[in-house]
Amino acid sequence: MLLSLIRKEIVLGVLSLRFAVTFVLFFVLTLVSVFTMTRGYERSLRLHEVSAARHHEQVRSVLEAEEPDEAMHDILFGGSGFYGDRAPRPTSIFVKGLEDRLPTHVNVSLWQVRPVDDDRYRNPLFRLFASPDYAYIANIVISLLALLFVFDAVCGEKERGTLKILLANRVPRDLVLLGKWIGGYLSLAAPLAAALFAAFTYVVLTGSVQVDADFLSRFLWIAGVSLLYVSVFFALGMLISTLTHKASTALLVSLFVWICWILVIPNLAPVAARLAVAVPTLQKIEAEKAAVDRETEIGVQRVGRNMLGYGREAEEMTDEIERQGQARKDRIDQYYRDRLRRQVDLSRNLARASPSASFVLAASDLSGTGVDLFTAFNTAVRRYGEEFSEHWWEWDEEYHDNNGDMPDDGWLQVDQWPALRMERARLDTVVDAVLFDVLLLVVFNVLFFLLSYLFFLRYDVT
Amino acid sequence: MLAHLIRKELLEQLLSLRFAMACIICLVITLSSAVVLTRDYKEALADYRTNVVMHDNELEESGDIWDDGVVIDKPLSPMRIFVRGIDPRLVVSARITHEQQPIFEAEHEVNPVSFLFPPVDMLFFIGVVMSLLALAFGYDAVSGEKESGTLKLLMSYSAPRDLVLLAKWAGGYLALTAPFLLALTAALVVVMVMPGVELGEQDWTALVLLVAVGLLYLAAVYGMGILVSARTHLTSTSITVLLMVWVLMILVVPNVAPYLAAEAVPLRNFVEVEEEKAASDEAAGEAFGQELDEFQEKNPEVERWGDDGRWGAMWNLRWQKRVLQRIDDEGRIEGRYANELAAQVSLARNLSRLSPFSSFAYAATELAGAGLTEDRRFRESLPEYRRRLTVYVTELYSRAWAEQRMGERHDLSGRPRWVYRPAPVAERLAAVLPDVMLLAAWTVLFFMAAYLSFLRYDIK
Repeated sequence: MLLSLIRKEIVLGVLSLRFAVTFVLFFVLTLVSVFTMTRGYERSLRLHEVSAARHHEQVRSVLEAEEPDEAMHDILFGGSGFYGDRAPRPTSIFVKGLEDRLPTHVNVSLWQVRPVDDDRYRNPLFRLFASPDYAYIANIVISLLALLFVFDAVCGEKERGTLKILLANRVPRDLVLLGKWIGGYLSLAAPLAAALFAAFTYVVLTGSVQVDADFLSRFLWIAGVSLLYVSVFFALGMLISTLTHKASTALLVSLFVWICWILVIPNLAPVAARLAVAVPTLQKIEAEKAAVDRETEIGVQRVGRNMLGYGREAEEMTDEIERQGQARKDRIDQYYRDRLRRQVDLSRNLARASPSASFVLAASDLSGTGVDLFTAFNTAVRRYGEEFSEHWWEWDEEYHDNNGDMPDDGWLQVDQWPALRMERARLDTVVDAVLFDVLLLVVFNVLFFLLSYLFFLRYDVT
Repeated sequence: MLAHLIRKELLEQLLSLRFAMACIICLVITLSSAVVLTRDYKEALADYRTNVVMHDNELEESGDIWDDGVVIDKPLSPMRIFVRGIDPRLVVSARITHEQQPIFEAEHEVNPVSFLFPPVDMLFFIGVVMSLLALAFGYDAVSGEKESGTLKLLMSYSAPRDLVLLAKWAGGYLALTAPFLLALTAALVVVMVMPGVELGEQDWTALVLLVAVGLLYLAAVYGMGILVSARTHLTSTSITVLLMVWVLMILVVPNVAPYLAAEAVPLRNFVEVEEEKAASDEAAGEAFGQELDEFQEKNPEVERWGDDGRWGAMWNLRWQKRVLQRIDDEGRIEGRYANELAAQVSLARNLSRLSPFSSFAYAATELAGAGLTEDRRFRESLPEYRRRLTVYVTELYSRAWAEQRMGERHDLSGRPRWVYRPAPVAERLAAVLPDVMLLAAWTVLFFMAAYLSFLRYDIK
């Protein structure tokens, strides 16, 4: 019984104009998206490779110079400093996420580590319009198409009068609804899966990324989450259809809900969170740290004046004052990071009122280009700066202790030079983190299906 | 006759479900986003004001204008409440030192979620939400009346087809824009009531122009709805076709265009530009060293960095020339790259103009002073200021050396100030004229095509 209902739904679906439209749109959009994003990824990768090679060459030329000390000083004091490069992530082909928002290289010298502002070298239109990656297509376009696919599932059949005839047979209503859900969803998911498969094949064929187990499983997870996300909209459309009695009404309600839920709620969330949890600007934080520095300096000077700066006691007091100053500065930094983390968490949670946000967050986390990318970048930048200055002082000391000669040839290799290393969370950790969003999507699914079941049981079919 | 027909259309729309929905959507979205974005702007304004004072104080306290330079803060325009534009940050500061290129405060230590979900400003609201509503108002204008059988009845009277279509267009358009304008007025009242927001004369003009361009854009999209409706015979077909076109037009064409342009006009790797700048500076540095040596040979009595300050005074004036030369060289090298980039940007813009949404987006961001022109204007104002700063700093130090008071604090009260004025509205309007013309052309084209289709429409 269920099977024949499902078959009827599938046949009905496949023969309709919207199936043709959906099929074509899925294919065209996914392929266009994956084509443009792959080329974009190749471009950034080339950029990265060239600049990494040049920066590597710079380090090598210093270490192999006749007077490494002088060459090093030239670069550190008079020149441009050294650079660390950030590689684009291959999964950004499917989910670009925040990849473009971060600088591609970081400049380091003795006193500061500073991400390089490369905005002026980029086309600003990339910022005006969102990247047409698969996550964007799925989030906006496919959710709309899913609603369009299903808005008249029940009320349309009522309008045409076929629902009356169907229920005049001995078919229980729950089976009818289930049949509609499964049949309709299959005829929507099949073209989507086919388009995704085509997109993946394209990426493999171009050979622009190394397809390993990690890449494959991330892709499969993203595909799975997007299928789940689409089913939320399918269930929602069905619910709207059982709540209305005219297809035109159902269509308008669907559009209304889609606009509010997909376009508005997630986008209001970050601003609302910013107002709820205010974070001081970085400049204020820097100013406070500078104030602490000045106080420390005054304290040290006072010690110098009172005790003439000599003796162990004075040294200890100076150390103590400096230590306290550092501790206060660390506390200020910690405060900033805590507030920021609270704000980020709040904006994520507020946005999760919409399944669109759950999907975007889950997909970007799975691809490694989400909020964690920022955290990883900031950590990497800090560590790069620390490692660099540690390394340099050590090198400087050894070099001078040895009267301007390397202790031995193998003492310093280019490969051991500090680099900007971005950590990427392992897939199982990421999966643990996105399970919450997946669960939310499942809850929405079940909720909408149960509600539509409830309303369909009491639906006036005549 | 026309007035009658328009009245009929208008009444029909006003009594429909979609009108009620349009009212709710417009009011809810514009009011909530007006409240949220205005408060956000006010916070940013407070931050901006603190920054200005703080940066001034920092410089006065440290007195080290040589190394620290001057931190400039980009003034905040209240138009950013309505259009966020290409740079979503409201507070922008840059450190200008005479030696280095401007250093912008990095944006990577802020809340990244706001980049995943862009704010709902007027560009988004009119461009995406209202355009969808425009299609919902227009998709059944002709095919819907045919389906319900009223078209046959209507045409049995002596109403000419052109008048019927014109009335449909005008009536529906009025019904579409009424809730929009109403909600917008309400939102403006909210913005004005919240203290701390002051819209100047220029801002009001820009705002009115922005709304006018928005109305033109909606007319184009609505016309497209009528056209498709007059080409189809079933409302379900027309809505399917329209949504497909909408998806392509609003969500795909503008986003894909920059990628295609990047493919068609490839750019040099910017690492090369950086290297070219470094190489040119290295050569200039060697020349500078030689120049100093020559001076030393000619004037052996001047002691290098001697206490009499003669060397220091001389060195600073020559250093000034060297840095000004550096600024010129950097400008030249970057200018060459900027030209290549401009070709890519212009191709991307023209490709994306296939969609009226892009035209609207360019016009809206430009009018609000948050577009490409403004961005370029801001960035170009910085080297000019750096030149003035260089002249000031080197002359200050040269005098201090000559008067042998290098150990004293410098009086920085005469330092050059960075004053930035956004482009006046008249200038911005000139920049958006092509896009406005394009939108007008789309409107006329869609209407004419709809008229042609309706003349031969089978009403039975």
